[in-house]
Amino acid sequence: MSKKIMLPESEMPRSYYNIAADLPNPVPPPLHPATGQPVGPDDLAPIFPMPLIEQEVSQERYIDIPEAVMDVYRIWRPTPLVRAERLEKLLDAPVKIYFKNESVSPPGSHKPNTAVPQAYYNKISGVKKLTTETGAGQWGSALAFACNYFGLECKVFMVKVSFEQKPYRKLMMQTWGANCIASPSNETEAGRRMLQRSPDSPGTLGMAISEAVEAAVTSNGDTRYALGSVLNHVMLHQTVIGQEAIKQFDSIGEYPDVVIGCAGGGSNFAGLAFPFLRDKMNGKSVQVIAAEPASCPTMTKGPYAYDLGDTEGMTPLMAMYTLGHNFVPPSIHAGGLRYHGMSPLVSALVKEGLVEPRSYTNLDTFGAGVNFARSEGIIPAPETNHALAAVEEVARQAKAEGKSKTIVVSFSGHGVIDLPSYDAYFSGKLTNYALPEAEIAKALEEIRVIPQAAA
Amino acid sequence: MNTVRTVLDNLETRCPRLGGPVTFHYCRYAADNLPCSRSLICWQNHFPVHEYLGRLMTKEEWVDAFEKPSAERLDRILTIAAETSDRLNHNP
Repeated sequence: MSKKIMLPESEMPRSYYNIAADLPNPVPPPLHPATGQPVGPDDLAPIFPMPLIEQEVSQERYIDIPEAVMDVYRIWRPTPLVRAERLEKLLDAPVKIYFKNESVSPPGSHKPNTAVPQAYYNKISGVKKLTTETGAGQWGSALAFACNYFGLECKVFMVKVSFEQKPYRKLMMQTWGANCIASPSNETEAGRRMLQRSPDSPGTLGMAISEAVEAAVTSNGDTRYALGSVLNHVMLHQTVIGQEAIKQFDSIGEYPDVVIGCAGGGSNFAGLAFPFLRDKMNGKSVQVIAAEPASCPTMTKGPYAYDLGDTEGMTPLMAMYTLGHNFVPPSIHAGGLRYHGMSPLVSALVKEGLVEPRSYTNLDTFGAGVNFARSEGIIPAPETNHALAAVEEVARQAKAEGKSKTIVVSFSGHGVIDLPSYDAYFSGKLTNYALPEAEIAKALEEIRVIPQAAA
Repeated sequence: MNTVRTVLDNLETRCPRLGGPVTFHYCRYAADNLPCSRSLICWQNHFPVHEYLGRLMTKEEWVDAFEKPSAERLDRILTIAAETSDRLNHNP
């Protein structure tokens, strides 16, 4: 049997799959924060081009992929579905593991799957320039790559702390012709205000978003903003991943028992999982797992709980009581982890019970990433490691239960540009820091004399 | 002086939003001078972060940082766009 299951270019999906058409309960339209009314095309028009706005609210099950987009996709798509036999041997469990290798794209991740159509739809709408923010740099790189093919200017506001940690990301963007600048910057009112208050500010993702949106809205109408996660049209574009995977499994007469993706903003998870969820909603038996970051070794042992069932608010639900001026929130039970900034579509699927979220610590995830690198050779992106940790967990469960399983995991990106994160892992910086009881008491004693957080 | 506070402030973890290492000090001020709303999740296994921050913050600050539902991304984008447009209309 071949190691890699390839798909000919002629078999590439010709349309995106829109899961909104099949949801048991439709996701309610977003409300405008200022008016409380459902967000309409006019609200979005200063920010996104009309074809993407139409996709954002579309209930059509399939949306054609334009030929110009297909043409750029062919640079790296279809991506291989790869049997991870060496990892299987390492895990010594009755599982077949396949990974859908999205790291073969030029920027090294799944992100160009949506960057390319976003650039295309902006181009045909008369837009000349795109702005965006980037944290880790994957999205900024992907948008720079895509804009290059459609002759669009691209300005990326990169959170300053990342900008300084990841100089190669900036260089990638620059090579593709984009302008990557550290946020906060002097280019926007929001950035200037922040720099006035705090000249050495390391920046935040919120500030970078503010700068990117402001730069688009204050243009003379030829600039729009692009977002690489969370929104429906982003999830839509990523579904080429899962559609290809289903065809690749068809070609070898197999179908996975378990589908796994890492879920930050949800787009790479959605890309692999949504087409399989279509099958699941049509009666196919398949377990779908979204792997996400946690910090507690096992949530069942953790001192706190975060309610995953409530998908509306995104902050932890913490009861509290006052203790004089200060207060101490009580410890509550474990029960799962809610994630910040998740796609509403993915949240809805969790709520419907179609997707099972699981959380993994930094130590779990980097351990899994190193196992993968040492067996299959590719160094995974740190985000990808969350999905690989889930693969290992499923494999261990299969072994314990004596059940054979076929697993497919989204290998969302490689980690060659993110090696400092591996350095932190190898040098022990990610090790859980066990603060001795006496030190905790001393710390609390110290802060009794500190009046405010900003002291 | 190398107080416990500075030791804690210099601890590092990996930020799932930024994709790189950040110090606890960064997380403490990452949301308009309030802690990032993920701080309790990201640091709970390192030290008793809820108790520590609880002692540092007023109740109002705590509510702002951790209890208010944070804006969805689209809400945030729309709010920024509306505020910027308003500003432009008033100061063209």
